[in-house]
Amino acid sequence: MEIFQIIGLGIVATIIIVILKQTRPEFAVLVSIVTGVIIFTLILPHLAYIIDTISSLSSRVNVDFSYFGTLIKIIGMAYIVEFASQVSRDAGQESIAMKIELGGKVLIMVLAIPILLALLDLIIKILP
Amino acid sequence: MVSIIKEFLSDWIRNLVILLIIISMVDIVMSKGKMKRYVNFVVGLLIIFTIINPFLNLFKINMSLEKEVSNFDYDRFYRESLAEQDMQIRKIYLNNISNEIKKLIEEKTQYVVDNIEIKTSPDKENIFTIEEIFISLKEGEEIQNSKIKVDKITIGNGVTPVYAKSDPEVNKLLQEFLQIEEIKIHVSIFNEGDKHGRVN
Repeated sequence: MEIFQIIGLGIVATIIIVILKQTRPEFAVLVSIVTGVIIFTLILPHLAYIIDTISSLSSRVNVDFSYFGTLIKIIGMAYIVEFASQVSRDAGQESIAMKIELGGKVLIMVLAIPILLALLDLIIKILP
Repeated sequence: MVSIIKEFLSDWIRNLVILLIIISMVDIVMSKGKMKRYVNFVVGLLIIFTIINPFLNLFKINMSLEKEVSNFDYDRFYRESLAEQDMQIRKIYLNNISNEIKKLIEEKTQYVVDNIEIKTSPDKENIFTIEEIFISLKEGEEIQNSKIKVDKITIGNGVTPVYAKSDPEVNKLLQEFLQIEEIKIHVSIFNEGDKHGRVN
């Protein structure tokens, strides 16, 4: 059961960090970052399974639902950005975290703009 | 007819239901963070598209979002909007300058402006310069009335060449106003009879 791995890792890491914080606070940050990365890699295959399910569901619809590719890309980007910004925040670098989020927001908007414009075009065409 | 409507509705509802299931899955999978708002925005766009998609067939619009999105070219979009902007600027510019000329001529001379044609070319800084300007004028009411009207005169085989008068005063006025060389200004003055052939 992978959930036990994740829980165990999390609890052990928390204890280590609590102990280290009193003696060597600089290592506490490192432990927290490494724990985050390990947990993220542990859940990645399962995340892939969920994404596969979503795309197989979308292929059941007979309208062209391949724009789900864009949606899935955006979700993935949001995940990575969130993860990276949290790592920075853990290390106390609030400003770097904000900048990572800014980059994520801008790139997500760039992906969304073609959909937005196509939709706008469509609505204008439908209106008499 | 009933079966068509039934099919249409069942298709539509199936699409919406599957989309909503997918969206609720996405919602659960997405962690609660600042990025969620942006994902929700795109999801909202997709919901709108799914809702109006069946009506496309109704309006006989052949459009696929997929094709539009995959063919989307930012550079082309940018160029097109720039070109449209240029066109509009040119239109407004020509309109304004025609109005000014009309006002000037009708105030300072006794002629009435019939038609103004302006040829422009964009220069390096994208400001328009006047290449040539064609103005046709009609003689105003007062002159028309004071003149002795001559009916159409036909000489020879009935084909009379059309001459247009020009008035150096108008040319000079325009030259001063527009600040361009006189050679670019073409003014022709007609009077009412011109529609049938020139009477001089």
